[in-house]
Amino acid sequence: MVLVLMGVYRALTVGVRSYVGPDQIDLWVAPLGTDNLIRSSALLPASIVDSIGALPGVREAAPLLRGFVAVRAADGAASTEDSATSSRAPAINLLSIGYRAPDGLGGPPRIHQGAAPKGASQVALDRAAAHRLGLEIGDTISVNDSLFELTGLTTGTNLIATQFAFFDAAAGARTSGFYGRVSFVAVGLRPEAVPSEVSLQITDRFPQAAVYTREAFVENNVREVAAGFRPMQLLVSGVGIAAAAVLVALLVQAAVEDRRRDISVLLAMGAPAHAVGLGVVGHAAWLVVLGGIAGAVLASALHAVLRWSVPTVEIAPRVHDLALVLPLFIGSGVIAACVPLLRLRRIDPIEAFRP
Amino acid sequence: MSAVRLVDVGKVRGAGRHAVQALRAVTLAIEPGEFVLLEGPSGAGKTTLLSVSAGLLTPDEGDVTLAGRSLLKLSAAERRAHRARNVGFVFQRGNLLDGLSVRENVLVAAEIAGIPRQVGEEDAAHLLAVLGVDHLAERRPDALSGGEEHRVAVARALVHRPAVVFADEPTGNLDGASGQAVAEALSELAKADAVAVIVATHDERLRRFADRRLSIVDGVVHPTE
Repeated sequence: MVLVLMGVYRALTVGVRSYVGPDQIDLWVAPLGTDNLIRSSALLPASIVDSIGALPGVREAAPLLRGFVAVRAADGAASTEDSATSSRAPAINLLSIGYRAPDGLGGPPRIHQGAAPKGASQVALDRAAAHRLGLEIGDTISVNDSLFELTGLTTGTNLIATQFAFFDAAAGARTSGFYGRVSFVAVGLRPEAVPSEVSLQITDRFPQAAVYTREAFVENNVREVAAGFRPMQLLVSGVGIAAAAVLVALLVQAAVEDRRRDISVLLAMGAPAHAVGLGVVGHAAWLVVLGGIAGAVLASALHAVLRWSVPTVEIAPRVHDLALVLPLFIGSGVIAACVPLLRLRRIDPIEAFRP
Repeated sequence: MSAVRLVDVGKVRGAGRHAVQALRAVTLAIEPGEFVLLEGPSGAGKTTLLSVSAGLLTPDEGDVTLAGRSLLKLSAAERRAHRARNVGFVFQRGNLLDGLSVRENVLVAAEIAGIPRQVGEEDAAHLLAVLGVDHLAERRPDALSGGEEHRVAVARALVHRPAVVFADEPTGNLDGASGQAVAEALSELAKADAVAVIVATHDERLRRFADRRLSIVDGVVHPTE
């Protein structure tokens, strides 16, 4: 369970990093007071984009209009609803990104199937969102009551609570109603440019804007995503570790009771009590290692099953998660084993004589 | 030097109104290679005498010397180490360790006694062969008959060449032939290595192996004719 949660968290951060951290974007320009993509409401004037693009050292400046849109299957789409009208089909809210389609900065990080949108009437959705709506490439969908053709499915764009939808910038303005405004400016620099100097130029000229390096913006977004997920993950992980510790304690206690005669024989023969105790603790540690390996196998299997059946929940398992979790579990298991070891101390070697 | 020597040993078991004087002024000496039967009714103090002699229990009075060292003068750790090197046990039910093979069960005694692994391996193989159970070396105890299990227990008791073997009803769970075979093997192997053997038993058929018989009643030890 802990490994699965870590995998989910990893998938979440991978999604954020893959969108806000591509190599082509060196700086993110945001309205003052906004430091991440997830939680922002302020806007900048669209004219800022060309002004930034004209600054020395800037290779490309691209507008991004971010918002939330209601997306539902339109007539003829493979919706799960029986309804024939788009207004009665179920809708989900997606994080919309209007960008210079099809290949401007801030577009889909990875196209899983199909292609990026090319015109004002096309859209690309995260594949989990398309799965939730029962959509396929070529379907017509309704976005804030405007119709679009679904041209592509993206990956690395699933934040679990919501997913991304990508439009051309003009379509983004149409669906959001924010004409002449941008949420962010994605800036690519020339190789010789110094990011800090360009940042300074931008903030000097546009005091209403804040500038972040790619790395800083990635960290801000990871922090924002983690803020909602981390407490739950820590709580569930804590409960999981505590449950595992109790289980190990019970197993070791059962082992001590089950081996009571063996232990008394070893003590009678002169085996040091600490060596017998170490044997019991080693047994507990081995149980935990086996449990950890079984957990890793189950997490991998769950990953495969979810990927196939429920892409909404993504898991990104990593071997080093196991390396992180296993010592934690072994430690808690060994500590838990110490409780029944106190019972071992009460075993009298004379019990070996009992018939 | 006696293998075991008890001088005026007294021991009370239990506490309060359940307290019982299990041993009363017991004085005896068992010599190397001697096979001694300790007879007496249940509750007479046989197991307490074995436990005190082996250093598993501390006497309330008197002194116990095992393999030349007074147990009362040793710390708990020293007493344990002294017991590991100089004492072997054969229990009524064999008490082999379930999780280990026959060979490992014998080796574990050598290992606890601090005998080098290779020496222990060779001695274990020799004893298992002499006792006729070498073909069972890789089997688990639950695959053995009662007689086989007790022969392995004899090998375990002797593998580290102790000064003394304490056997508590070693034939109590065996049929006549198996019991005789185990007692005979224990007697012969112990004599060959000058190991003293003290057997607490009700089994009269073991008398023919005894160099000496003692009886214990209400904690008092008497020589038996």
